[in-house]
Amino acid sequence: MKKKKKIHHNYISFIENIERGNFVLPYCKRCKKNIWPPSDNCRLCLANLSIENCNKKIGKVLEILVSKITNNNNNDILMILVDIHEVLLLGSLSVDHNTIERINFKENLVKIKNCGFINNKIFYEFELCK
Amino acid sequence: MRKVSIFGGKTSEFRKETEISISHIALEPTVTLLKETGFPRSLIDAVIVSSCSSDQYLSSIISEMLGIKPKISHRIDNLCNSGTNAIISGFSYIASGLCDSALIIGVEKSNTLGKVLGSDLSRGQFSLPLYWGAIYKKIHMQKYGTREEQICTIPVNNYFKAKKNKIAFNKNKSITLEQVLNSRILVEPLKLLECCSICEGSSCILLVAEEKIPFFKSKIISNKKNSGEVVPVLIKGIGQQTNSASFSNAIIDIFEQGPAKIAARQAYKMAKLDAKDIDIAEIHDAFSILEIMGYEDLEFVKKGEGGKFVNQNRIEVNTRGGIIGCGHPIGVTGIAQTVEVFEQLIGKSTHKLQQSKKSNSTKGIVHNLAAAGTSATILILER
Repeated sequence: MKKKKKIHHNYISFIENIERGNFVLPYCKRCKKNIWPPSDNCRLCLANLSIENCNKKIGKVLEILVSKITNNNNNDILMILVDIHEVLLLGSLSVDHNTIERINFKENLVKIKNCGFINNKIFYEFELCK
Repeated sequence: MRKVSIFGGKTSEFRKETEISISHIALEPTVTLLKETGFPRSLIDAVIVSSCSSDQYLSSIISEMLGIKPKISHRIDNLCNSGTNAIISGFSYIASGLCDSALIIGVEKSNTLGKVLGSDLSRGQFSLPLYWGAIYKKIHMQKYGTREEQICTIPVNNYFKAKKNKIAFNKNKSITLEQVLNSRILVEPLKLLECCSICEGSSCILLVAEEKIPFFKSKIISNKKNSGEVVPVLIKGIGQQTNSASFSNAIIDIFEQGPAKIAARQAYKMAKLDAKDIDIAEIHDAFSILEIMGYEDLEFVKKGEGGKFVNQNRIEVNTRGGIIGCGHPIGVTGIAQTVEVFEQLIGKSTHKLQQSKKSNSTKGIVHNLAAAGTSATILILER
C-alpha cells in the first residue's frame, strides 16, 4: 500500500506542537522576529516562516484582568495579555490562589508553564519568572 | 460613479431563539418592505444576504421564496459588520452600473457561528468577545482616566431608548446607573449589563440608483399600504478598513490609528463632510466602552475624551437603543443601524429624538465593527 505523503504546513506543525505541550511560535528569518498568525509565510514580507521552540522565551505582562467566569473549582482566573517578542497572546497566569493579592502584575516577566488543548480549545498558561 | 439612494428599509422583531428557520425569518421584514413600498420584485437586480449562518446558498433560497430572480445573488459574512459590508456591495453594483437596484437582507439565528471567532488562536481559552471587551474598557480607563460612571451610563441611556422600541430585544426594560454598577462582574472591570445579547432577527434595505427613482416610482404597485412617496436618502460616504483578524494584531493599534478611525476619515472625505455636520449616529455598542471609543473614532471628540461626551446633546446617538438595547443578531446589526438612520432622516422612525431641534436632521452616520474592532465600516447618509 502506498504511504500517504505527510504534508508539512506550519499551521499544522504549530497545532501539533501545542498539543504536545511544546510552546512554539512562527519565526521569520528575514524580519528577524516572531510573527503571528501561524502560517507558511510571513505576513510582513511573505518569506517562508519556521517554527521556533519558545518554551524558555520570556514575555512581558502588558495587562492583567480577573475573570469571574470560573472553571470547575470556582476560583477566579487571572487573564494576562502577554507580549512574547512582539507576539501578543491571551493566557492565564498561574499563581497560588490562597495567597493571591491585588498585586499589579503588569510589567512582570513570565514564561510558559503549560499549553495544549482542552475540549478542542487552545490554552496558554504562564507563570512568573523567579 | 452613479449616486445610490435608499428606497426603503424594514427591521423585524429581535427575539430569543425560536424554531423558525433562518430563511423564513428573513422574509419577516422583507415581505413587509415589498408590500409597503410596492416595489416590483421583477425590477430587483441583486439580492445580497448578510449572515454568519452555516446554511448554504441562503441568498438564492430566500430569492426563490420571495419570487425574485436576481442577476446577482450571494451572501456576505464578515462577522458583526456583515450587514454594512453587504450594503457596500449593493452600493458598488449600482454605482458601477451593473445593477439599478439591490435588496440587502440581514438575517441571523441566536446559535450563529459568528458568536465566537474560534480560529483566533491568539485568544487562547479566552475566546469569547467579552474578554477583549473587558481589556478595551480597562485600557481606556487607565490611559485616559475615563470613569466607571461615564461608561456605565451608556447602557442606562440605551436601555431607556430601547424601552419603547417595539422590536428591541430589551423592550419594556429599564435599568439605573446603580443597577449597572452593581451588576455581576464578568471580567473585571466589565459588567453583565454592559454587554449586548445575541439574538435572532432580520432587517432589510432596498438600494436604487438615484437617477432611476422616477422610473421606479412609475412602476410602484399601488396598494393601501403605500403612498407612493419616496424621500431620497443618499449613501454619500463609505469607509471600510480591516487591519487584522486576530486579537494579537488588533490590540496594537486599536487606540491609535485603528480601523474605525481610518474608515471614518475615508467616509467623511468621500461625503465631503466632517464630524460637525452629523446629526444622527448609530454607533456599534456591543460593549459599552465601544460607544465611547466610537465617539472618538468618529471625531465627535478628541481621543480620550469620549467619556465626557456621554450625556452630550449635540448629536442623536443610538436612537433605537443601540446594540445593548436592541440585541445583536450578528449579520443583521449593520443593516438595522442603517435602516434606523434612514428612518430618522425621513421622519418615519417611531423612536423619539432627544432634542426637538433634530427633527430636521439631514445627515447621519453608521459605525459598524467586527471581531474586536479588527474591521470597521462607516456609512454616511444624507437626505
